[in-house]
Amino acid sequence: VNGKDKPPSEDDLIKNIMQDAFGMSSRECLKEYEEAEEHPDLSPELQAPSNGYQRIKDIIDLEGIPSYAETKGNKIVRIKKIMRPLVAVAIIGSVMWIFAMGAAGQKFYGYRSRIRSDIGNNVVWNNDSALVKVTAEEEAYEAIYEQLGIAVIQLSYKADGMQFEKVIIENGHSNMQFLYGDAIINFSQVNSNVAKSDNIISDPNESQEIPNEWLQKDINTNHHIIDSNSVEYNAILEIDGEIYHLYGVFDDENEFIKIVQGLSFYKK
Amino acid sequence: LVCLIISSMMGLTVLADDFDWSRFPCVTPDSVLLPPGQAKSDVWYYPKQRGDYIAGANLSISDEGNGTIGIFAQTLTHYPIDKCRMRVYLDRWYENKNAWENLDYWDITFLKENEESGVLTMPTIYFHAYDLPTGYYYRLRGLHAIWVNGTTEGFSTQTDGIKLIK
Repeated sequence: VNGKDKPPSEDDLIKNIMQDAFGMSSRECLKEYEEAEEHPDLSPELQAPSNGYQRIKDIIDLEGIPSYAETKGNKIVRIKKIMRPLVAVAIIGSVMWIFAMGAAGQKFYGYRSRIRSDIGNNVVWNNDSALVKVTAEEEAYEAIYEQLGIAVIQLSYKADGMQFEKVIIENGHSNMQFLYGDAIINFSQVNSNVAKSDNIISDPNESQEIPNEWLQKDINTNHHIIDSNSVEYNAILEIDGEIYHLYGVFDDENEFIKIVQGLSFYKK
Repeated sequence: LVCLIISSMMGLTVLADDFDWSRFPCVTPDSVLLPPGQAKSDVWYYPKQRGDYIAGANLSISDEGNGTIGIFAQTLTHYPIDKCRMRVYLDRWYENKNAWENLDYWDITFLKENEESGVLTMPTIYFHAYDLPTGYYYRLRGLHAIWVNGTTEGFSTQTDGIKLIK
């Protein structure tokens, strides 16, 4: 097969048709179009009549031209038949999606929201993002360091039976929790270097300074009696603007003191 | 329609367990208006009257830009709890009235049954509210209530006002 016998391509066909129709090449057509766009012909005879729509409607009414819906009647029925299973699938899918959303939302916190007004529609819940999925205490310190970019303090000493439970890091806050018997020990580390107003509102009780040789600081501690049998101990310290707060119920004050004395900077 | 009905039913199951929030009023007439540029107000409260269970609570409002605020609320306890509810109010400062007015509020419920470990220890929520008019002051008020072994405790928090300018 030589080049002369090769069938014309679609482009060639279009070019030929345009040549036949307008007597000019596609480039000439485009040029003319651009010139027409820049210099539109505003002659009154080329303008659409002001009552054009009404005139067309009168013709339709007079000649009984069927409407679009009537001409496509069979197709509409067919589409309806197709749509029925689709609508059913959509509803089932939506219901499953709702339950799936509920399950996802409840994965860690089980929150449910009640949204009262119209601006409530503009709320996005992203609670899952708060929980850093780490299982080990070491990973929690690393995650706090990476996400908050602060000097991280670790518990070098833990009371017997005190176990890391979980950590939540969000919005400049981090809070590690340890289970100690029936009680929870919280250790918060907060980045306060961003533009914000940090308030710690508490009722300082009789305080005690505990020296910490690792941090080279005397750490302020105090305690509160929370019921007839339990005492909450807490320690707050500030280093370079970051706030660290350890608190929880301890049966033995000495265990709390040992933990405070064992606070040290986390190093990878 | 089916979706709406199911959604409504899910909401009702929560609301049926109503709680008298007025026992723990957090409405206060005053809040500090932070200078423009203070993009965040972050408060940590530790109850002055010590309950057996609530150890403290955090509430934070932050300007996330384009009329969006970040809302962070957390309730901290001394012991694992059965249930926690937090209600967060969003208020706007009306300069002409010299008063705060509530725009909206959200209720969030946490149940230990929904925890993977079956232990509820640190209910926390962080979400965003969008399309708020900028150039105005906003603050948050929080109510924190917990249930454990038939006992209920409540606590309230409140942030300073921040001006949305981003």
